[in-house]
Amino acid sequence: MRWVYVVALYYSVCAASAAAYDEFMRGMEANHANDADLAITEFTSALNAGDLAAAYVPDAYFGRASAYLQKQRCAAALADLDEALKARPKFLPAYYARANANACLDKGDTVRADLDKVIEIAPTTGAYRSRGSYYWNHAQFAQAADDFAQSLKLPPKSGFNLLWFAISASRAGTLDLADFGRKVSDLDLDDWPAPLLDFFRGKVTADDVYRKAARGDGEVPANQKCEADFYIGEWRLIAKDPSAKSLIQQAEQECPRNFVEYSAAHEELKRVP
Amino acid sequence: MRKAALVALTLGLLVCPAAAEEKCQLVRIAALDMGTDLAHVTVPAAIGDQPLTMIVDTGGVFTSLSESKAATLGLHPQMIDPGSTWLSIYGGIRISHYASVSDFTLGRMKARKLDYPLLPFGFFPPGVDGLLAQDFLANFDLDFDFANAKLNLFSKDHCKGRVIYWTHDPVATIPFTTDEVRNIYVHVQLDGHDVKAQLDTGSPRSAMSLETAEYRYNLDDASPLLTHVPGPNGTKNARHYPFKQLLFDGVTVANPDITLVPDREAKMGPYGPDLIIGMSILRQLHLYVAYGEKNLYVTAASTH
Repeated sequence: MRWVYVVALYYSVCAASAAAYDEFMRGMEANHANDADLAITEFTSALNAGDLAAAYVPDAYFGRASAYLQKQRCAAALADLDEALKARPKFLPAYYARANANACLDKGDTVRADLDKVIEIAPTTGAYRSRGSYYWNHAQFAQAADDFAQSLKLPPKSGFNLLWFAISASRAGTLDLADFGRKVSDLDLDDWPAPLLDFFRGKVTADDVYRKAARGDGEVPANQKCEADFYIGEWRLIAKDPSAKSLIQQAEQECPRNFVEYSAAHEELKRVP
Repeated sequence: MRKAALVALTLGLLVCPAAAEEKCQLVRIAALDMGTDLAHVTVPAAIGDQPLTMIVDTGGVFTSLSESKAATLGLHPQMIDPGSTWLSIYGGIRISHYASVSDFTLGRMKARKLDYPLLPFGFFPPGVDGLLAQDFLANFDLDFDFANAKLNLFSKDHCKGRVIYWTHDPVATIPFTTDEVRNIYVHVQLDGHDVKAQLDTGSPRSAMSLETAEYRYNLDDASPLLTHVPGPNGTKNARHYPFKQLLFDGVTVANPDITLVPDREAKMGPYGPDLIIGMSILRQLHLYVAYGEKNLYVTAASTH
């Protein structure tokens, strides 16, 4: 009788372990398929099973937090991200996600603290770009320009970082056009967003930019159009051109929600009279 | 004398089965904790007392280090002979330098002094210092136990087929072939069609030629089931098609996530695989790669 009990216990433990990993993987798949409800269910089961391999526990919390964020359940997301970071203190995606959760909860200072932490752990071009975007969205243009300038010193070089540097430094009143021209030349960029950089330098017209934005397959032309609307709108805003606001409004309507230009347009429109 | 011979013969009979049994035992050389990057398999290694995080890349050719880690460790980069085959890798990235390392360790193994190509900034994801490729990996049997986040390295010296230690349930046994750089190719069934697939733990996603998929599955560009998705390595015009099942002999992966990439962008060549099976699918399996016998043993990841 005792042997039966031991054997039964052994198999139930194994089954729990197997189920935990299966549920964890189903949670990952559900997030990939944007099925937040299913992801929450699966990750919750995986975490509750208690014997998910320790290596995956932070990912399970992070996965569930991502699903919570998609559902705008920001406090629940925050709690999970705290757990994920407790278990894995250098979990960079979790810092970004926690910044989003705190932004959702209007905790501005804690947002920046997480972005600072990311730079402390891994001072990459992406890390500086993220904090630069935070500063820009909060109208702290000098700090934004500093971060975008830092991002330009690190590989990989990006034309978009240079656009952001230009619109931030212009708003801060510190853009040196000659220096900007040198930076554009150093970048040696042929493809998109090169036409926008040329527009900022006064070498092409807005119509030229839109003609080039219309090239490409699939969703590329639509995405480039939204980007053109945003950056041309921003440049015209600096020049106090009355057409600026409508362009930024168009960008907000056209850009996919996961584009930085969407959230930036959204924030800008709160500032533009 | 005759008696002595008989004793020897008897002893021989006694010893031989024991030796055979011993040879049939799996000898585990290393049990490595998989790292936290779910898009790759990473394992800990070291140079001297400095820890490294290495990607395990069954689609890789040369075990390599990142330039930035080499700089951090104070290694001395040396120019590669321009005539060397190391000059360029996937994506056209040029490799110009290598470094000699004499105290590389993995688990309890220590490598003799070897030259490691240095890969440029941006090649590896953040936190990764290098990759273990087939020039290293194919010296062992590889046991990918994803459910327990372990990569076990076993000796290749064992009896054929005596590798299934993790389950008493049926296991799919799939012969594989390798090419001149030891890439692993198997035949699998994707929605009822036989396809030649490469096992690539260095690829986060799984990819197939768009043209091959259109031909095999009678699709055309206008099919509403072919949706645009971001492609791997920045490729454009990639598509997704809702495949139903990928079959490894008797082991099924339902709804495999496979990105379809146009040939002109994938540049896999006419002799490349139909399908690259990357981590999004491999993580759902328990894989034992027996290099000595050229068999792949597969169960679902959670089978025990």
